[in-house]
Order: sequence, then C-alpha cells, then structure tokens
Amino acid sequence: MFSFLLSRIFSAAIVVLGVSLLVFFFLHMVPGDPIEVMLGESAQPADREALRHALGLDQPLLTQMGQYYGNLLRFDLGTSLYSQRPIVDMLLERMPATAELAIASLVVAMFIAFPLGALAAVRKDSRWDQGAMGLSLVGVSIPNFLMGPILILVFSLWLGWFPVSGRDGFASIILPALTLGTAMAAILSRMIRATLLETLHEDYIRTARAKGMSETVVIWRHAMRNALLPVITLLGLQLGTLLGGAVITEVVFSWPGLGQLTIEAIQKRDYPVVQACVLVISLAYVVINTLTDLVYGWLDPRVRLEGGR
Amino acid sequence: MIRRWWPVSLLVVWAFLALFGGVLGLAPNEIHLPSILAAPGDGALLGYDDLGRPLWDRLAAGAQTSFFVAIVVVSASAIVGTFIGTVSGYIGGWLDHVIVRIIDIFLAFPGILLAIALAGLLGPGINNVIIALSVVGWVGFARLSRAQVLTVKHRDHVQAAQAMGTRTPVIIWRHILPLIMAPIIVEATFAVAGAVISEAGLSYLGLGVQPPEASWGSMIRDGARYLLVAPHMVIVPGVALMLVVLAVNLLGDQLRDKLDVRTRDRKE
Repeated sequence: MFSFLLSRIFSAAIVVLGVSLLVFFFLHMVPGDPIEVMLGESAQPADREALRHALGLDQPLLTQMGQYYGNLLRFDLGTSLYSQRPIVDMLLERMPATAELAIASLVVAMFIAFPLGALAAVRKDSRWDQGAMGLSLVGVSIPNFLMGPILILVFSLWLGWFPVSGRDGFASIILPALTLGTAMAAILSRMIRATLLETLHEDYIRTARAKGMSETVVIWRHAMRNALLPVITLLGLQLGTLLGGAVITEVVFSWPGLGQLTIEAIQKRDYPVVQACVLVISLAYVVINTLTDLVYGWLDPRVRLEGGR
Repeated sequence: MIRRWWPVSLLVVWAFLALFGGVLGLAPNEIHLPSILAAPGDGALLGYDDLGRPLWDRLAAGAQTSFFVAIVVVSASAIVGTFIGTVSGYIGGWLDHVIVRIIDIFLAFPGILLAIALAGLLGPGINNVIIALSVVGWVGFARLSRAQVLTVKHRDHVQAAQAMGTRTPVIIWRHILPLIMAPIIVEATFAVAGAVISEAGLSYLGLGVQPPEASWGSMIRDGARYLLVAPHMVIVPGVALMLVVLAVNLLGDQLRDKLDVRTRDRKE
C-alpha cells in the first residue's frame, strides 16, 4: 500500500509541476505585447512600465519563473489588475459556490444514472434498454449552454418555479445542478450499464440466484457493489468534465463561482486572474483524481498490488 | 432503415450547407427592420432575430462555421496526435516516458477549460478557436494511438519486418498504422461531435467568431436574452446543434459496431 501511495503521489506531483509551468507560459502566449493588450493602446508609457515591472515581465525568463514558483509556494497569486485585490481572496470568495454546484450536480447525476443504468443492464436489449440508452445519447448531445436556457424557459419563465439566475437560497441551485447533472448522468448511466453487464456474468451472481435470492437483492447487493469499483474511478474522471462544464453553466445562470470569475477575467483581460483560476481548477482536478485512485486502491487490493509493482 | 440512415443524411445536409451555402444566395447579415423577432411562419422559414436578420440564413452560415472548425480541428488533432502517439509507443524508452508525462499534464486540465483560457488569451476569432481546440484535441489521439501501438508492435509480421531491416518509418506506416486505423477513425468521429460543441461553447462565451459572423453558439447566446418573447431564437440553432451532434454520435456508434472496435473480445 505504501509504495502504491508513493508512486501515485509522485506522478501527481509531476503533473502539478507541468500544469503550473504551462499556466506560467500563458502570459507569454498572448500575441504581441501582453501589457499593451491588457492596458489598451492609449495607456501612458509610465503605467505600462509600472505594470511590466509589477508582473515581473521586465526580468529574464528564469528569474520570472523563480519568482512565480516562490510566490506559489507562499500561496501568493498576485493582485487583480482590475480590482487591485489579492487574487487569493477573490478565489476563496468564489470557491464555495463552485464546490456547492459540483456536489449538487454529482448528487443529481447519481440519482438519475444509477436507476437508468441498472434498468438498461437488467433488461438488456429490451425497449427499456433502448429507451434509456437513447435518452443518454440525447443527453450527451445537448450542451450545457442549450440545456440551461431550455430549463430556464420552462421552469423559470413559464412555470415560475425557480429563479432565472443568481445564487440565493436552495431553489436557485436546482436548475444549474440539473443542467450539469443531466449531462454527467448521460455518460455515467452508459458506464454503469456496461460494468453492471460484466458483473452480471460472474459466477457469484449465478450462485446468488441459485440460492433463491430475490432479483432486487442480487442486483443491488451483489452485482452493483462490485460494479461500483470501476464506476468510482469514472466518477473521479467525470468530475473534471464537470468542473470544465461548470465554467459555461455558471455563466448561463450567473452563478458566482470560479468559472464565472474566469470568464469575467478573460473579458476584462485580467490575465493574472485567468492564470490563477485555471491553475486552481486544474489543481483541484488533479487532487480529486489522485484521491480517487487512492480510494480505488484501498477498496480493491488488486489495483494497489499492480500499481506498486 | 430510417434509424440507420438519418444520421448520415443529416450530416450530408450539414456538409452541403457548409460547402455550397454560397450557391443558395443567403443573406445572413441582411436586416429587415419590420421583421424584428418575428416568429417562424409568416413568409420567413424560421423567423427573424433581434436585429431582423433571417434565422434560416444565419443557421446556414452557422453550419459553415461549425463544419469548417470541426473538420480543421479534428484533422489537425488526429494527424498530430496519432503521429506523436505512434512514434512514442513504437520507439519507447525515455522519449515515451516524456510524452506520457506531457499527455498526463494536458489531461489534467478539466474539459474545455484549457481551450477557454487559450482562446481568451489569444483573443477572439475563428483562427484562435481552431488553435485552442487543436492544442487540446491532439492528446486524445496520442493516448489512443500509443495504447494501440503497444498492443500490435510485438506481432509476428512487425518482428519479421524488423528482422528484414525495414526502416522504422516504413514499419510504422505500412505495418502498424493500418492495424490501428479503425479505433482512430471511431475516435475522430466522436471528436467531430466534441469540436462542434466546443466551437459553439466558445462562441457562446463570446470567444469564437465575432459579430456579424454567425455561429450556432453565439446565436444561442443572443437568443437567451429574448427567451420569453422569441424562444425560436434559441430553439432553432439549439435544435440544429443538438441534431448534428446526435447524428455524429450515432454515426460513431455505428462505425464502432461496424469496424468492430473494442467489442471484438467481448462477444462470446
């Protein structure tokens, strides 16, 4: 277990290093002079030099990199060009909203995906299966920025059940969570169907049936528990898609999370904030994935034995 | 029969609108002031938008945008990604180690986030959308083709070619690529769906094509402001987008069954 833990954490560290390096080069990818892009053409030369110095862009590349990592280690992500506030504070303000939305979407996704996937697997090749899988394919094909407005039109404007946008009380999270959750459920239900179909062929399922257990017990107690293992990994991977999709969904519903902050910063050309947002969201994803791997290894000894070899 | 053929038919219409839309004499930017927000029917096929522009013409122009972006992005990603993945998998050693790490790093960015950030930094415009989506897109092909190469590179015919002193590029081109083409074609099909959604997403955020150019994503964004009075502004491009993506996904499923990718060893 220890060597498995170590090897997983080592590769996560390399990925973190690579991700932060890529984000470091963001400012250098801006075509032309990033200072001019950020301040506009009419900016005074003195202001330009001040900003160039503040961002360290007047230093040699290696010095810049050293400063960047030094600051990262001290959790200093710089200040926003627009509001002049420390970026760390801005991120901390927005994080709860994104975390809340991610968790709510995950709950929605699981509530839809498990029954749908199980139904499709148990009644394989029946109309139920075809219907469930057809539904999931349609779900995959509807992007968040279309699902969102459709839900707003029906449930906010026509029925008046939920607020159109913003984050104010429990009712306001339902539509954004449905938007993200259904997209995730569409993919998840297919995976659950596939893994459940595989476990249903196992010997112990036949044994359980031969012992005269009810089909419900066979499926939820015996098959689903074992099918859950690969699904946990997939859930972890899906969280990344969720965090990416959250960026657009947050814009659709004016949900004040990290995604909305990213887009606002892009629109204001507040590049240090863009860098910080991408870095934090990606790091969260790496941490979640590593934790998923570790949990998986803990639940299934076969994984950690192979991984630690 | 309809079930089998409608995806292909729909994609043919999409491609036709994209390639030959010019012949139809479309006027996506022409403004008819009396028709502002007019619903479908009333002499106009799909109604008009908030500036009085005909939605049918804008829909066709949007088809052009999404088709062009999807084809360029998927071709570039597939060629570059497959090249990197195949060479890395075949040659192995430290090069393979480094490339696997790079792939891991790119995969660590969640979903469309990296593309959004890149498009934002490079500045809005269709060329930058293509660059951003390709930078993100090659990774999937590289990972897939590398994994495929690892499963075939020890086969007898490859070893025979090596023993005969065939040069490495020839071995990869003649003896390995044909064997791993099927899954790559399937992956490319699904990548088209991804590129169409991503392009629309970036345009929805204002990072894609700039006004007055049309994209299904920017049409949905513009329409979202008039949801209550003119829902057709969202529904028309939305349904088009959904149908194209659904058709591509179905085609991908069909191809996967037909080319027998991955399901081969599961059938008893």
